[in-house]
Amino acid sequence: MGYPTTDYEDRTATTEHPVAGIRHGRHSGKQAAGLGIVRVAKELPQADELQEFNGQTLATVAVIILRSGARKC
Amino acid sequence: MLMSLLMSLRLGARVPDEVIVVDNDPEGSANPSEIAGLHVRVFHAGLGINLSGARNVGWRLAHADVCVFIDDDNEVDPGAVAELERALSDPDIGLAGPVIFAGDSGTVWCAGISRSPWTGQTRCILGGKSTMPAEPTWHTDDMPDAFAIPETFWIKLTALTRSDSRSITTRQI
Repeated sequence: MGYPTTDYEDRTATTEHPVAGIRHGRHSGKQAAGLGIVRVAKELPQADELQEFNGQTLATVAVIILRSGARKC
Repeated sequence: MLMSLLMSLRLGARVPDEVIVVDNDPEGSANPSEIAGLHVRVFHAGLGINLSGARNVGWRLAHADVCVFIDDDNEVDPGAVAELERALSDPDIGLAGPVIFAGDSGTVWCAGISRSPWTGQTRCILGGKSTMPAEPTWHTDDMPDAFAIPETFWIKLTALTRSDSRSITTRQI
């Protein structure tokens, strides 16, 4: 059972300015090769540092995942 | 790929308060399984390759203070979201981007974008290299594939990219 989905009706976004400048064709080649792991640093914070940070959360965070319409997998 | 990303977000030190999947596939193929402890919403935008449109859709739907944009074929290391959030706690930073590595090889795929003002040609900063610069900050002419931005800064950034091609300073995190 998956998450509930909602159709987004506002298609006016297709005319909006490309704010990010990502070259889709170039990027999709990398994706096809299975690349694109995101890492922040080679040395990750120690567990106690993360615990301290978690206790001082100042903001809420949303992760927005972009799924291209050019591939399905 | 999408499930791998969702699982990596769930296993991270900073589980995001909300996760929004913007599916640009006109056929609406994104249908991830539920993961306990991860609040996910899926929106079928169906905008095809219009990535910027999908970003704006996601931004409008988000309620959080910080928006982290990422493609669905990526995975995040356990400390990634926490580090991006930590970077943005500095009021002088308007955008934070991770270094993007190519697979598990430790090779940098992209740590920013440099663009020739004469030819418009772009290249990935540090692309193909395995070592990071000693300097804590460097300039990028464009945003990396994945980045975090305060929700309130998004409109300002769109205005900036419309009218100003000067470099954006990014910080290694």
